Amino acid sequence: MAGLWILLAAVAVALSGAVAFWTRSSRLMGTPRQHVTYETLHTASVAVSALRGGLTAAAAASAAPALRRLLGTPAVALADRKSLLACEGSERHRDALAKCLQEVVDSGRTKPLAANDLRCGHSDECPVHAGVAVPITVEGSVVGALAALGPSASADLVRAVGEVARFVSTHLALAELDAARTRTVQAQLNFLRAQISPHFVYNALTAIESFVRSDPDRARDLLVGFAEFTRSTFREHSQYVTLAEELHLVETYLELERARFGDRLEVILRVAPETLSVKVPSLVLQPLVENAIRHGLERRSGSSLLRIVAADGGHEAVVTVEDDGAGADPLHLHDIMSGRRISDSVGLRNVDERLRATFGGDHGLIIETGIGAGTKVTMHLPKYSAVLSTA
Amino acid sequence: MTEWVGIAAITVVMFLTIGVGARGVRIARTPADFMVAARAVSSPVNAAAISGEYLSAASFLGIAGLVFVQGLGSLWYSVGYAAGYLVLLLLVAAPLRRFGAYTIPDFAGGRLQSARLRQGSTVLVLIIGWFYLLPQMDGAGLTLQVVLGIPYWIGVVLLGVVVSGNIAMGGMKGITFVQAFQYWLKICAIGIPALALLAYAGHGSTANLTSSGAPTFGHPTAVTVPQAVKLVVKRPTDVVATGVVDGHADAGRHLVLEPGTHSIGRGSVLKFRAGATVPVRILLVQPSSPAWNSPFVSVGPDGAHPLAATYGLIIATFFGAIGLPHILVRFYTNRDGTSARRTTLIVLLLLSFFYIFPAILGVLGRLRAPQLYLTGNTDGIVLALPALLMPGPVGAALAALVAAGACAAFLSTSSGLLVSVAGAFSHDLLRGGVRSFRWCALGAGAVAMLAALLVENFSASLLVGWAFAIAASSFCPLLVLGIWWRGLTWRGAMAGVLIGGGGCCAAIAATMLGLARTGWAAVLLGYPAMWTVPLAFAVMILGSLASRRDRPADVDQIMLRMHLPDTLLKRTR
Amino acid sequence: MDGEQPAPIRSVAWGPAQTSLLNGQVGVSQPDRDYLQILVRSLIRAQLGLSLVCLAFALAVTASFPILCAVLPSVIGVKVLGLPLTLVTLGVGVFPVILLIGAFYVRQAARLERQFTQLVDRADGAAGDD
Repeated sequence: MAGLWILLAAVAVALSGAVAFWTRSSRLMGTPRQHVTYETLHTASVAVSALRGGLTAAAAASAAPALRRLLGTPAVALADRKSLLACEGSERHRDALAKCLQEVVDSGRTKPLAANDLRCGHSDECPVHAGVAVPITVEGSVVGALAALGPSASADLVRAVGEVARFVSTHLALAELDAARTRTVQAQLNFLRAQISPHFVYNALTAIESFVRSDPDRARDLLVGFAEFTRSTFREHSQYVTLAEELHLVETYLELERARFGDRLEVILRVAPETLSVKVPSLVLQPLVENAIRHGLERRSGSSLLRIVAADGGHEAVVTVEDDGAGADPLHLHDIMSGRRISDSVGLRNVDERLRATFGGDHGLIIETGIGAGTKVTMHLPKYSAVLSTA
Repeated sequence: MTEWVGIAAITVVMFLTIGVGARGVRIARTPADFMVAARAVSSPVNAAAISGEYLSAASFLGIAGLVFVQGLGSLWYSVGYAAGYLVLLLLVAAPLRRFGAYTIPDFAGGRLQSARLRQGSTVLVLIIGWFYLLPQMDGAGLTLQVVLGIPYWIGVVLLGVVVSGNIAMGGMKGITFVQAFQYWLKICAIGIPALALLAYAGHGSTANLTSSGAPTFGHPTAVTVPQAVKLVVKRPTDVVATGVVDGHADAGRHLVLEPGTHSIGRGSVLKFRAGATVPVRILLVQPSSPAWNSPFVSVGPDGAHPLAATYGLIIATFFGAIGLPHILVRFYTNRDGTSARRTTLIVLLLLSFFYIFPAILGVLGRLRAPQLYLTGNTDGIVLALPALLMPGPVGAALAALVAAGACAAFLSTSSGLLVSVAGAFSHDLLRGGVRSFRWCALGAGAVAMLAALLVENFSASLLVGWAFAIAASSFCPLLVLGIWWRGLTWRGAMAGVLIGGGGCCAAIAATMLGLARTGWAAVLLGYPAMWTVPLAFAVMILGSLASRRDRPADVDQIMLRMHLPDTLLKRTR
Repeated sequence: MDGEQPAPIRSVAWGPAQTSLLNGQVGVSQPDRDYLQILVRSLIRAQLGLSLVCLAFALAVTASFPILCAVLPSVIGVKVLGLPLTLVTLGVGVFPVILLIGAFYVRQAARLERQFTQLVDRADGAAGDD
């Protein structure tokens, strides 16, 4: 009997220990009181993030409601060096506030706002009788001003507005730094994308153009498809995507190409579902398909068969894109791929370089071609790559 | 006649398996098809594939046999095999999928930034894979022996050649749809016979189940002994014998079998009265095992410490599924962590559903066909039961169905295992391509085949239980600590895998060689997970604490990747 | 193919063995994730806690049966609908239990992740356009 009690006690202890651990760790996700704090911080950060791009009219308009909530006053206004950018909660005082804020920007000093400064002629129903306007400075120079209005210009309102202005100042300064860094990254990214996209953009628009007169409805549908395609291409997204996402992109792309070639283009797609989760650098498949179509169809008459296969090879996915088009001289292509010869066909080379950079030198493209023999491009994509596991 | 139905069923399964394998890809020609072709495999299909690959000969044949022979305690195997997926769901499913590893060596090498650990894990994948392959081959030999009457070794060689040849030629390489199909085949092949037999023969006395003593014949029974056997008789038993008993030729003589061992000649017929105690074939005798209806398993001739042995089994099966080398590969097909979790839950459902049936068959055997104690073979009970309980064409058809299911069981599991083993060998150790994979598949199949010829006398469940024990005491701690603890280092992991996995292998080897047969030694060596799993965890933790400097620099990045919810992960990617 | 010319032959024009003159390195700096890394630690603890609770519960429910029978041998003889308790428990009974635990876990884990996502969204402001 004693054993049973010991057993029950042990089970109870284990269970309660586990429950205690869970409740303690669940609390790491925050108590209701903490959530209030988060709420405040969140409001502040919304205001700040709106101002990330600098003090512009749009940024001020979206930051103003958050600033008003943060300050807990009925109305706030924001101005830059030249004009009033946003006035939240007190439209009728707009002109007066613009003038007051301009004064503050010019003088660079805090200014209490009295009822007559606001030209408030409707003292009874108007919740706004007084306020305070403070300058916003970044690195010593005044860049704008912030005003808050309330029933009275109490000391705590003055204090709060001053703090918020300082807070906004700091973040505008940070935003400046941020913008500089983003510009650098963006420049790199744009450079990479620019290597890929112009050909397609040109071809797609040509295709759509051909329908504008003959079949305007179709042209409109295609334009929508084109917009969708470019959006997913240029979207601020990641460097790596799954093969499934890549295939969807190809699908949208093929839709556009079909518009151009109609029945001349026959496509067979064979996909082993086990390969769909493979991570690849974005835009590795579409350029191959584009290339196959260009060389398979554009330069000759008659129809062409395009074969896209994603086969499961255990530790890797083997993706091939094969056309039965004109093919190319292997030596000529070799020169293009190795960079010895300049060509307008940068797509293949770009994909090759990115595959090698991502998966290592032995995972570049394999291109088999011959004059009149069509072209087959093969990629061996490892299902697991240490590079991607930390990316 | 019966044989031909069986042969036909097995042939159909073999061809379906190979044939469906050729159609594992989706083909699209029209734009509408493209959407379908590039869609991820849904959770139910993937779950069926995981279950199909997981339900091996040990589940299909072994559990019912063990329940029949050893008692209800053997149901811990089925409980453990299913609960292993609960543990997998709780501890590793979603983070492991988000990590993106394709194999366990991928995880070991990527999480801890160590090529050496990666290679060490690869070796362990081979060991576990081979261990798990043995019972599949064993089951094949036995099934074909029972169904076709051909010698054991031919069945083993046949399965080895078919599976490794098929894989080497590029078929059946982890194709999701084939494995999903296999699950439904297996559930039909065990569920329909089990329910049919239950409905046909399930009613009546349940005395054999509830009495803790030896089973008795429910009605007068004539037993034909197909091969010479030695029977152990516990109580004086009246019998009418035709044939050779204890060296005397008898023709319809009434005699009393006294307690002790009796040898019965080939082809003899023994007629028992209703209520007579069933003599037991000496191979199936469980010396001083716990009562048949107790929830314990036992080991060794003295059956010592059944409680400890039971917990050894529970730990091995509950924590072993995490570390099986051929399962992670399937999780890769899930789209993200959330769908990995959903898939695992469905796997749990599919397995729970399946594991009800072996219990029914094992219990029915004891209840209505106790003559199998005289003539049967542990893993052959399921195959023999339908024809015994339901004579005639229906019984023959059910027997063929069961044989087909058993065939599917060892085909699918051994294919999955062989792909994993050959892949680990060629990809991680030889760094080779398709050609080396082929040779590795043939080589690994040949090794498993040879080894299977040596283990004819071990029950499939016992062998699978050992594969689970090795996985539980090596990969389980590696994965669990790697996922939840930032502090794991490759040195700690290596030490844990070596000591835990090595200790477990040594204990199993000692058991197989018969080094310890009694007392605590038999229990600790026969069910080693009991001590090797905690040992492996402890060694890994201590070793990692001692080598703190080896913590990979990007551990925070990896933890983020494994645990960040999928929606956020997509955004930051 | 009209049969007059020899069939065109393909050959490998480019493969991994070749190297290009300009091996352009592609490296885009990843967004700063230090902040998320710290936040996610509490999620990991919460998830681990949940997993351990479920595991402890599952073990307490299933694995306590043998020890119960060892302590109270009379339990082994209990019959349920004429069937031994062991059969009812291990053959059927445990499966719904582990399924329920699994379903509970999946829901709770998803809930924790949702909470965390909200928390991060709030703090991040990236999706904070409420």
